[in-house]
Amino acid sequence: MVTTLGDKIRSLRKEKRLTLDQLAELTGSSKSYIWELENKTPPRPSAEKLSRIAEKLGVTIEYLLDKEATVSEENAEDAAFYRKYRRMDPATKAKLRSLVDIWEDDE
Amino acid sequence: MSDEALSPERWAFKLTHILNAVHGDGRDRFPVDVKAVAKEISNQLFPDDPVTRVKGASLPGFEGSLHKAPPGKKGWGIFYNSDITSPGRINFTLAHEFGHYLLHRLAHPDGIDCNARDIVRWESEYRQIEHQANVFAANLLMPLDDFRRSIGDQDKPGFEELGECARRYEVSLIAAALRWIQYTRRRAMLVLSRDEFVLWARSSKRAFRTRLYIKTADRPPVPVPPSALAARQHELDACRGSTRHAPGVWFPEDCEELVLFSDQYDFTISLLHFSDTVDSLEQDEEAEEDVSARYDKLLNR
Repeated sequence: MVTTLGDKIRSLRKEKRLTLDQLAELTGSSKSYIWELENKTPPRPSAEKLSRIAEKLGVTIEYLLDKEATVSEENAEDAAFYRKYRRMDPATKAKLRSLVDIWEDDE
Repeated sequence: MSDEALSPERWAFKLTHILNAVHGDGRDRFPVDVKAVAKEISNQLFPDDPVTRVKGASLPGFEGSLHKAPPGKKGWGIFYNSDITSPGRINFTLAHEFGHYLLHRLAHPDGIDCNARDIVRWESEYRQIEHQANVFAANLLMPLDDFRRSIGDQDKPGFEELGECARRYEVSLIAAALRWIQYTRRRAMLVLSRDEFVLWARSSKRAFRTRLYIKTADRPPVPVPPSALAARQHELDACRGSTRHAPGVWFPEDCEELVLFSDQYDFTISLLHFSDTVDSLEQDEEAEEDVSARYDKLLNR
């Protein structure tokens, strides 16, 4: 499952049973900064802050960062309106494509 | 005006009229069976290019999408994630994709070409068509005339009444509450919060006019007032509660706050009801509206 940076931080924080306040204190950020990362996924978060957050949550910074959002041309051709397109993992994309390709008529 | 140029609202009205005629006795009118409606109505209106498939499958992380049939096959298909546990969300997704079919398939016959060079333009266009599809879905699933028969525009509903409407239309409680806040003549506000910050807030027209609103876009996180019920989850009984606030808690005036905490989605919904007094500023605007409405009537005679 591909999830956003914010979702990852939030679920890891909850796994570790940390409140927003506690994670903010551990990483030297403000509570509202952590909340913004979790809920608004702001562009270009500070690498320094992210590495401290990753460290306290016991993961690598690479794990936290979203994969580069790219849409390959073959997909753009056969997909009309993908919602949350860039959040689908490759397995789901492949399954959807095969559904479209087969196109059985509904019973 | 050709059908293709209709706004999301007009498309929904058009379909609502058709469905009202079909279900003249009112039986089985709601919830709207989007699967059947998408196929049947598209087949009547656009027999050369209808929705021929509506198919659900286990598609983790996915909601729904609209696809043109592969070469040699006819029409369009709506695909959705059947793993989603909330029927209200599936129903809204289907209506949303049907909206894309009615509103956007001609402008995007091969899909939206998204390439890195043009990502900014694509982002804004994407947001706009998503919004239009949502407006269409809300209007199709929850026609205002029917909604008003359950909750009048002067009524002061709680989550029970809004929940009954959500069940009637098979939509989420949030979708039903947003629909009500659009038409109510009362001063009210919905505030969605998580971890004591506001995710988003929506005001009724009259609340907005009397300067009761919370802006969240493009600004630092807005904290929930510490004495608001939304910030006192431990005091809630069975994830819900209500209280009266003195002026100065949410806004400079007093209000009633109804709260519902959703464990599944980890957010808190606050429904704020304000007093029904009308201040002078608002009366001016209302008077203006009346004048322009009378003028419209004169012109249309």
